[in-house]
Amino acid sequence: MNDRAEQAFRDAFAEHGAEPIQTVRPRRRFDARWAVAAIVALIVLAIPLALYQNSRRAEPVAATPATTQPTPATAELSGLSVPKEGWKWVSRGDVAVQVPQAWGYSDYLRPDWCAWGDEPTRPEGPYVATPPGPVLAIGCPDVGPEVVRMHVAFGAPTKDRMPTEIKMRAAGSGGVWVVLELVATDDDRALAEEILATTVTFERDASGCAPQVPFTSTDDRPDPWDIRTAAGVSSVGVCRYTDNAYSPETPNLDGSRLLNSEEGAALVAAIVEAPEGVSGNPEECLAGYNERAGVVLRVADESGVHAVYLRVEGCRNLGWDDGVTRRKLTDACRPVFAHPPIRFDGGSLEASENCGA
Amino acid sequence: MGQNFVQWVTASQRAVLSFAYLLCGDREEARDVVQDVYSRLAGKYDGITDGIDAYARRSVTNEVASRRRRPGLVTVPLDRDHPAPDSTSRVADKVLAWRLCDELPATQRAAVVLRFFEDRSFAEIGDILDVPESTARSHVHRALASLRGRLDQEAIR
Repeated sequence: MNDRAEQAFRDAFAEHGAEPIQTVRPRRRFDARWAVAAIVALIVLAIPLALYQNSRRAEPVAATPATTQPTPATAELSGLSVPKEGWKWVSRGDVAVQVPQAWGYSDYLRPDWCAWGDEPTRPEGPYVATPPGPVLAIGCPDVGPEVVRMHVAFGAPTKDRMPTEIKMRAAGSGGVWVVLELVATDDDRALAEEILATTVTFERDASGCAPQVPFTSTDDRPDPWDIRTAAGVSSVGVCRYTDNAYSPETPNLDGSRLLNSEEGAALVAAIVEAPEGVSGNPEECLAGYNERAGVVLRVADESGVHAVYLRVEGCRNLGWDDGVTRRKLTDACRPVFAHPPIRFDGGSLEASENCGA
Repeated sequence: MGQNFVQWVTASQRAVLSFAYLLCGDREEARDVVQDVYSRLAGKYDGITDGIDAYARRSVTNEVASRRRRPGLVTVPLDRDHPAPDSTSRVADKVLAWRLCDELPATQRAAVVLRFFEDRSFAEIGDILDVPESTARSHVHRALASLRGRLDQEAIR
């Protein structure tokens, strides 16, 4: 029997427990050397940053439309110009930048897990930092600036991201920064400047991804397109979005990747095989939680470019949706998250078992 | 084994975060608490074969209680203010209930959250909090009695 007091507790907890809480935030321990380095870096950066932001107000970074013909592999999807010879585009939010083709991705300085006591493996070469995950750096060893490897990262610099010299450029909703190694050469600095000079904001990145997720709730569906009719798949853009319920105006593209014809066709075939219906357990739902998170596939085939949604977070309407049919989660989603920067960030156990690494 | 822990954290963190938030009423602190708890569980996970979810909730409860006992801990919420309640009695009731939670001892608050948010039985609450069922029942009933008193006071204003 519910009396008034019981109901009051239930109402209070239902209201407050339903408030979306971002998953556990990244946190990194620092030793004194890092703190000193951070303070010095803050001071050193304060003046140029202020000067830069003033100049940015006067001359905002403009969106850069394609200025040359896209390469055939990305003709249907890319909204950016062809990158320089030997370079490639990487993007997050509404900002893209070119890096040398050989650069890979790494979560070296912000790893998912350190709880096992293992020192993260230092990348062999420069890299692009993968976006932070939901639970990071638990029980990690302290590391100093001497182990920092040159890398590109996105977003506004924070003190725990400035252990060594950095070059940065504000753009769009955030910025791009190049972190240099403790002992940086003039060539390193020149490369950093060359990278930053390619910074653009975009409406579609090199994988055809928009900065903002196109849906606002798990009930939203893409324009209808029966994925069974796909023919001659030439490429598939994989667009990963995180939930941005607290700041829905902020671009939430977390990363993107382009599947070639063979990979894309295999993925489409696997989606078609998934059973109709939805995965998830709505009874576990917290209202408003992870409504804007998911993956948008941009499937380019003979008939054009079509959106297919893949939802793995939250607990409602999980699975694939081509706007005609909803399909349940199967391990067809595993290749979607198989390579960085596309990451599986959690959700139900069902989603984790099907899509997780 | 490690992957099992990752999967469990992935699957459980939403509910554990909500539980922590309802116990401490502060998102930032809730994330800190949960991260601390997960960090400690990381090394013990393989040894806890049964009841890991209950163990996590007990750990969260203990961590919140421990933080409440530490002197000088001041948290400043950075999030937006909650909207003002409307004039209906139900809103007033839940506001009073939420305010009362701030005054409850951590274990008692945990019992109330487990009872009225997670719909746990008194036996389950006892298991999770590692107290006899009768104590779990007592925690909840005392909290209800306190709230009824507040509601009565509000009614005669």
